[in-house]
Amino acid sequence: MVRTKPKVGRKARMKQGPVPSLDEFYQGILDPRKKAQQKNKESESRKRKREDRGASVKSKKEKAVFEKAKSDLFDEEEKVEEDKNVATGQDDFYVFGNEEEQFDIDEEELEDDNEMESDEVYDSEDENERGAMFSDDEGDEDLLEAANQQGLANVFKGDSEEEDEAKAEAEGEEDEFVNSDDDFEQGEEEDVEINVDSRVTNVLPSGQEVEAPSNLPPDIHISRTRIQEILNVLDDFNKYGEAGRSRSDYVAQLIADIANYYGYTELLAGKLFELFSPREAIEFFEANEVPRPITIRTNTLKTRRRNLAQALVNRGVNLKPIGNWTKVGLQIFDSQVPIGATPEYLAGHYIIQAASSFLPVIALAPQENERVLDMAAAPGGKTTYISALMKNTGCVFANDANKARTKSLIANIHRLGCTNTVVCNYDAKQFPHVIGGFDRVLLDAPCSGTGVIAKDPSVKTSRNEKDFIDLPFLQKQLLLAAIDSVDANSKSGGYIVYSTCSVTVDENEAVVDYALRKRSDVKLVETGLGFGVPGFTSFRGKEFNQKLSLTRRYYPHTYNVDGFFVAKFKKMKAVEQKPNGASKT
Amino acid sequence: MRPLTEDETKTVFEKLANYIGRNITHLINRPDDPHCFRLQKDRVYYVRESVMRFATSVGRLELMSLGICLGKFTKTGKFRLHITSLEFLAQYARYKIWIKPNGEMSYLYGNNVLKAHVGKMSDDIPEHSGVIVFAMNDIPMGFGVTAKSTADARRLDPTGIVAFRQSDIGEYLREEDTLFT
Amino acid sequence: MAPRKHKKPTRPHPRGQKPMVKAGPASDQTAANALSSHVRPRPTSGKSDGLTRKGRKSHIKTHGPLGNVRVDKRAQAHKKATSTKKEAAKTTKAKVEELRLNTAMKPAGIVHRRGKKGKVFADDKDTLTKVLSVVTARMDEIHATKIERAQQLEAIRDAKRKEIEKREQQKVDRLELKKKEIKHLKRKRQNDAGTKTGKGEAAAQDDDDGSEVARKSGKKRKVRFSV
Repeated sequence: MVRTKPKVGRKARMKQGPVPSLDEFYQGILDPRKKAQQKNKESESRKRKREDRGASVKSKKEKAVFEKAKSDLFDEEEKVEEDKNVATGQDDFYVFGNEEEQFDIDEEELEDDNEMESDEVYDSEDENERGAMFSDDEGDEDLLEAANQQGLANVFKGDSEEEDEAKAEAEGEEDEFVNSDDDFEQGEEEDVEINVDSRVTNVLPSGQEVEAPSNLPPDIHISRTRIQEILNVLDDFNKYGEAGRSRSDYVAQLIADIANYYGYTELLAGKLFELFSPREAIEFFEANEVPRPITIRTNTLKTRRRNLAQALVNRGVNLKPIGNWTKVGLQIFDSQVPIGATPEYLAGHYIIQAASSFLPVIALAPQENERVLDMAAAPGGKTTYISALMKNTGCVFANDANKARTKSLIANIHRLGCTNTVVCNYDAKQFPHVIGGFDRVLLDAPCSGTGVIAKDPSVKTSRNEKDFIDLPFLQKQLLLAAIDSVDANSKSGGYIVYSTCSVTVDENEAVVDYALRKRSDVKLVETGLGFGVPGFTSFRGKEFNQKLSLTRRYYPHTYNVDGFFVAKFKKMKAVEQKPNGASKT
Repeated sequence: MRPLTEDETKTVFEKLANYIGRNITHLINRPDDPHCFRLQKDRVYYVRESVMRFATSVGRLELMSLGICLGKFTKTGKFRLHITSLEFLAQYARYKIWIKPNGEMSYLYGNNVLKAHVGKMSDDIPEHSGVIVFAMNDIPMGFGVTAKSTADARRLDPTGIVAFRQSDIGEYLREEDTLFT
Repeated sequence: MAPRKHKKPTRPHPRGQKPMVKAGPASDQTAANALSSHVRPRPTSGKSDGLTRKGRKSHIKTHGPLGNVRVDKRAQAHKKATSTKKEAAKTTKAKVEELRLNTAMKPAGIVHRRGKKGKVFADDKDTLTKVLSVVTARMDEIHATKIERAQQLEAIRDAKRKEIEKREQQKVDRLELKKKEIKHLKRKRQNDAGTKTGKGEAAAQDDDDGSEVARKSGKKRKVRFSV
């Protein structure tokens, strides 16, 4: 049993990606029908033809996959049930059977683990799979078409203006495209033939059309169609672009349509759009419409993941480990009981925490007996994780500028049994002033939240131009404060981790670059995270420090975690830079 | 943040003694890892001395919490244990009551412990003495005070109350707004 | 012991006089000094910022041509009051000054507190242990009394139960006795009835009856068995 199961697990992962997929499978089944209906209204004969062909093939395929995944899950449950009855001690819970050793290892330290993980090409492999997964899941016939074009997109990518990005997105990405090329090889030729005509037609509205709709409610169906058409054109602009129209016209119209269709302000839509290639941008926007899976983190101060999983399964919770990169995370598929009110929850055996917010703590890698500062700690998911990794030794300062939010912070700290914490309520900018000389500092900075739009859709409309000036300003101040709070002479530490749940460059690379320029005694180091897209080293004409490729970005559409950014600094002993260090104080 | 005065210490210890009896010595005598009691605003914290020393850098108004919050002094000068101290005190519990899985949720919603829900209990509990309530898998669930001695509880009918609830971990959800100021 | 208690100031701080002075409608030099320096003292209406409502009201009413008697009285009374207040303020201030000057001297009858000021903290292990021993002693006592009381109660309960049992037994005994008595009485009564009719007769009858009954029963038995 133990031997066969991981195989199935891997298979399932191939289809699902390590982070959940059940939802997506459901969605995959539901969506094609729904969207097909929508399509019919605006049908063109060309599309209808393909729809009939594509939909049947697709939904069959998806159903098969879904069925398989389902049966896997049931298998899983049955097995667990069986084992319970038999009441065997050790290898009963097969899901975790293959990890038993890891549980028993004294968590020697995350860094080691991560090294291992990064060795095992987890990254690129998974990306391939995920490429497939997403084209599967879209379930929309238009996107099937889109997927067929992905090969073209690859070509386009090579010579387009998004060279920077392509550069940044290293080998993994390339693998993906190679792979998808294979996947859709057959469809591609066909498609090109069929699409040639449609691409030449006028996609952009004429001058009158542009002005007319200003007082009418925007029609999202038209936007939807036009998004696809513009994408097709942008795939090979030289070939399909309308004469007399520039590429930027198309892009402007595309952004307007995205803003309209997905409900963003044009400002934000533009900001997010420019991070990706057009096709990837659409994937990103689509992923923002789908909620991320519910994940929990085992509190290793009180229990072990295997025991917790067993206890929760007994309460009728359907769960699975998040992925190879964490040994404490569990992903909840569904539950018969409220997951935030079980006796185990109240007893502090776990905390509900987004998978993405494990990352900065893993990067921080706090050691026992160190002194660590969490500058923006509420509601305490990361603080309690730090505390757990330090096994309640040393001292963790958990600061939050918002007094009301310290309530939940204190509640979580006590519920999870963290006894080495000091909770304070300062403006984090005051920090080296209050107390400095920390071994490690985590700054999970306040941000615009563009990575968590799926969680909080109000971000789509609430952010204005000023936010994208004020927030980076604040973040820069905070990061300098964080750097200054670290003791460069710390024996075991001297690290700063900067993270945000935003994906914009202004709040991430620009801030990190600023700090590198202002503080010559820090340098970027590897985050120790096994996966993630490298940060931008240049963006829209701005050149950043080349070391910024050591930072990591996470997107909802690539890893099915919230959009996130992690950078890790090491503060150097100021030997020759004495005057620099002195000037700080 | 300051140490407790003698009177305050006495009040606190008297309360603690209800639940952990003479085991209070284990809180005081920790030669390898010295801990101390500290008063901040009206709350009493039990905290490692090294952590406490770092916390002295934090201003009185800004310090929100440190170590384990044992409880708070009421305006009338009495001491009230908080659920936050449960985890720590449970290991030293003098009298214990274990409740069956079917009684867990009832207790966590703030109800008293009924005879029908009691899985087992310590032998020689006198009536009206402090107990710590556990689930059958030894997860501490809350504080209570016995309504009947163990002997009397044996004679009780299934709907009779064995222990009155004083505080339970359900308060982490129910009382979040008041419990942590 | 209660941690929230704050020490109250034992005597009014010199600054405490300030609002009182401010409240006065007609400001003189002292009042002006008491006011913040950048406010230029002006006789009446100019001070509108610094004036309280009361002060302004009195001012208007006293000078108003249409002020009726009642208001006028009140205003005058007020004026008087404020003037006395002002005097009081003056004197207190002076007193405070004097007190300040004389801090070195101890007036007779005033006892200064000796020894350590403030709270006695229990922070070191010894103090804590001491407090603990006191507490445990008390708790043990309470506990012991609890147990003792439980035992006492148990003993009482036992005694009561015994008593009740005893009473029950007595009751039963009495009942038995009564039963016996009644039986005995019946027989006696029957005997008495016999004796009343005539002793010899009765005896004969008795014998007859007995023999008769015996005979009858024997007869009956015979009959029954024969049938």
